[in-house]
Amino acid sequence: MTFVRVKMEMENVKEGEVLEVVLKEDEIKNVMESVKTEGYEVLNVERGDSIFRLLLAR
Amino acid sequence: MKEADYKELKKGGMMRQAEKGKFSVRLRLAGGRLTAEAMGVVKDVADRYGRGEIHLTARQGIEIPFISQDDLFKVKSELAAGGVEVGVCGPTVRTVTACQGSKVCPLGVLDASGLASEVDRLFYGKPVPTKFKVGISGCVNNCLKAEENDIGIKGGIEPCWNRDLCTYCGVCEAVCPADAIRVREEEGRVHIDLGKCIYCGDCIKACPFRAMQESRRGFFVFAGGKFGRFPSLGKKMGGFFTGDSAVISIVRESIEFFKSFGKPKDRFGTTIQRVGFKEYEKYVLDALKEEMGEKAARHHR
Ligand code: SF4
Ligand code: SF4
Ligand code: SF4
Repeated sequence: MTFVRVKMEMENVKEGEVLEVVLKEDEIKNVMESVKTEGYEVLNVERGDSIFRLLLAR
Repeated sequence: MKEADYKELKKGGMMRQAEKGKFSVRLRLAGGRLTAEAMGVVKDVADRYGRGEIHLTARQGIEIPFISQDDLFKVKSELAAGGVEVGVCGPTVRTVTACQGSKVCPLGVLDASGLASEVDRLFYGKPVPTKFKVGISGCVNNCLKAEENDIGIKGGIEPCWNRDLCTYCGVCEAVCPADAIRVREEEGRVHIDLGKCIYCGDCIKACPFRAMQESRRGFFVFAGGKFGRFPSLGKKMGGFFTGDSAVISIVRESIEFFKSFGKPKDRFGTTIQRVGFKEYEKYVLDALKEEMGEKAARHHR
């Protein structure tokens, strides 16, 4: 489910823009696998207290 | 009909039913796979000689019940003419079970179905002290329950870490279901405890920067499992093995071990327990080493 939202947000991201996504730890597995399948670029991954903060570009 | 005749028929896959004079005819299948054409032949026989029904067995097999004793051999030859073989029962190597494996399942590591056909082709129906079951799961999700077989095979992926690509983001550590990964940025390393690792490959799929990579694809072996009255799970052999031919060798050597050391009425697990798991492992691995050279030996950890 979470990835569906990420994907919808990514639709609005234009060339040169970056989407920041904050995920709970247990969401990272599915989201990251889908991000890779979808071919988005992962600019950065930061680990916080039980969360991950991703920076994605198209 | 004498008891001995019933026994002979049973060995040949024709099992006496509760109802007098009726038999359930077991077919030879591997990995639950048969062509649609063969299915037509089976349907035809069930319609004409049985009651128009088939039974799907617990181990991916098919039986055609309600066949009259007098029709058994006609049924057998009609099936054969349509390319369908009758199966076995009794103290033999039984139906090899398998999931669809890598040719169909996106998660598959092993071509479980193809391997099942090969094991079936080489060993099906061979006489052993008691029934001997082989089951193959294409990956660690283990849909085909490797541990409940005399020999169970389970595909897996061994991960390895590439320092140059790693950003120490911690995703691999978070996704690992076995708590086998420790990301230690201060030490400049990510440690994978292969003793804990279940070879699922999740860390490889999730790593955002391709720093977690596939080292080897292969399989684990479980020996001595069974169900029935006193179920027990097969025990994992030491080592992660690679190569389809190793599957065949391990099954072959296990059957040889069973034939050499098994007493009548032993299940494979009982024989292993009496002789010792270490001895059994050594028997199989020594043969493997001889066959494949020291490469196989390195797989033993
Ligand atoms: S064991 Fe793995 S490969 Fe086989 S069906 Fe299950 S998920 Fe697919
Ligand atoms: S997920 Fe990949 S990049 Fe991140 S810490 Fe693990 S190996 Fe390194
Ligand atoms: S393969 Fe699976 S169990 Fe092994 S380290 Fe990676 S995520 Fe953990």
